[in-house]
Amino acid sequence: MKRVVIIFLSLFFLLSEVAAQPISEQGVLIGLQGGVGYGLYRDLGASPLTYRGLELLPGIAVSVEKPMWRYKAQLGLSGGGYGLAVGFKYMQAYGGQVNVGFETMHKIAEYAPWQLWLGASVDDRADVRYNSVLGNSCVGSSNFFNLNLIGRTEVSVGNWMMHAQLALTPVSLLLRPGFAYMDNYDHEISNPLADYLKQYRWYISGATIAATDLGATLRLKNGNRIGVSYRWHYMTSRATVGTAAPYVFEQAGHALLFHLGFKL
Amino acid sequence: MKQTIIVFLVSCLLFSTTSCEKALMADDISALPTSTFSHLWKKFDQQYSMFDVKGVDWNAMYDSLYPLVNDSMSADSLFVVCASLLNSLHDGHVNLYTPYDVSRSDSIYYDFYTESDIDVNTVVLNYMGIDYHMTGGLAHAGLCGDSVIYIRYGSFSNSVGTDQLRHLLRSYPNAKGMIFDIRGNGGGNVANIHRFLSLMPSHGQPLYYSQIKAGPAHGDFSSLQTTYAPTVSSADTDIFTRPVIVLIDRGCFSAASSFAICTQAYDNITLMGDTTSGGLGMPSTGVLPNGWRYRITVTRTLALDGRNYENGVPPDIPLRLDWEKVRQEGRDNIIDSACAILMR
Repeated sequence: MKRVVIIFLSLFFLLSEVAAQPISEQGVLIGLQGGVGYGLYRDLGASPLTYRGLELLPGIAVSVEKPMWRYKAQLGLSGGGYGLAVGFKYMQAYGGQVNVGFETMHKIAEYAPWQLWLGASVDDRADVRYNSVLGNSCVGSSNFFNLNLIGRTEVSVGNWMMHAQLALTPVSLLLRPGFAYMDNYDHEISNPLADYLKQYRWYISGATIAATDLGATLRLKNGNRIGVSYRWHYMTSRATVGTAAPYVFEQAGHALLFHLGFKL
Repeated sequence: MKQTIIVFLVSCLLFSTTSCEKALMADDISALPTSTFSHLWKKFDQQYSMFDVKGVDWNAMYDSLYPLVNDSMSADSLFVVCASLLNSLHDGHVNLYTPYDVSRSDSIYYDFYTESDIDVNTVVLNYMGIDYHMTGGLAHAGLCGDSVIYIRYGSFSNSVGTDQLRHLLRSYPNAKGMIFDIRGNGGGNVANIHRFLSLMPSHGQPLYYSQIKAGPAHGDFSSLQTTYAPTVSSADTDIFTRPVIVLIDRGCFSAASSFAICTQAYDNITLMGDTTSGGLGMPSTGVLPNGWRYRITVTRTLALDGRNYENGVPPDIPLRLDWEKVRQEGRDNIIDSACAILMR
């Protein structure tokens, strides 16, 4: 595996001919992301404890870039093993998230070498958190459909582009477990999925989701890119509808991400 | 250029100050014994689904046990108090799991051992024969010259496929009836109930109704969800339309009790034996602030007659095992009675 990565990166640079002159930012790019992170979460329906652990964050994206507009469709995964020591016992839990989104950005100002972009995105995050006790488990599987607002500033220094981005989510449509969490409530065997979803409640929430992203990207002569970024995100869902979903679900994480962009 | 870099670094610093989730996330609940006990009590107060049939004054339990808890007490002592709280519910689906001990309903387990109405040695040696057949999780043999199918199902955790069940039926083409013996069956996977019932004549009739806790008050439940019998094609020839007697006792719990209430929906199935131990609600699990885990019943099941048989499903034909007859003659009077009814 290590050898494959080395060969892959070597070819990437050999074919790219690192150049010192400005290059066009227009075009279509395929982006690959890999990273590791430190995440924490708490789902009060399952546990009052905050679980912490290492996460892996692979992802893929397709971007279309024009002078004043950018569009990006992306698929990201994150997940890992979590736990914490309580007394002399180590509590283990597992979790993961699938994130599918579409983003559009518009350049609203440019004061060379600075650029300021504003945009919006929609994304759907399917999230599963799990801990077990013998034959029974407590599963909090949630779905968040979010409308996000994004602000981004970029500064170019030679072939390097550095960025700082802030995303906030004013509106989130949530599907969360109902008052009692459970995993084996299979009273209608003929249609277990429908049965499972009956325990859940849809509601629209002002869930607080924030993410910051700081990074640097090296733009290569052939249009390819390689970059690294630090990302922090925080999400909390505290909305209730009557007494259907009273449990706080919070998660946060720090991640170091590596990006490769291939210009088509 | 220098100014640009400085501005960018300042921007990064500002962004980084937002990276303090500790300031945003609420503090963990204290893991001290008083907090742990209170958390456990409150979770059950809000999520436990069987207060109406357990006859427990939950507030009174808190008032009587909380004075026994203090933050300097040992984990062992806290476990004893918490276990006392949970055992007052007499619910086999309620447990407290710690690294060194597990609490369980003493009354359910007491009945399991003291009120059992089956002697497996007698059944195997004097009825099934040591060469009995095993199909999936079912042990079976022909009784009364293969006129009665005897099926022993010791746990609903033992999986059995529909094809296996149909193969079993085809092994006894001349059977006049069936004895389905689930005495001592502590439950398991509810899906196996439906697999077995798929052998019975059905038109998709209701089997039972379920509700899940939907709010903190003891009476806050979701609307009734109806569970229907598996639909069987009228062209299906592998359907057992002849009489079936299901043998039950106090050792039947959880899925075994659920199976017992399902029999209300079938004209050809009769319950014989002793009242089951109940356990019709479905359990979920949770974690306490000190890391201990608990299991809690969060649903309730109502039979077709509208009653909640959480404390036990009664038989249609009450009959206890005559242990004297078992010891002296090696006979199981419940199986003998069932055979006599089926051979009429």
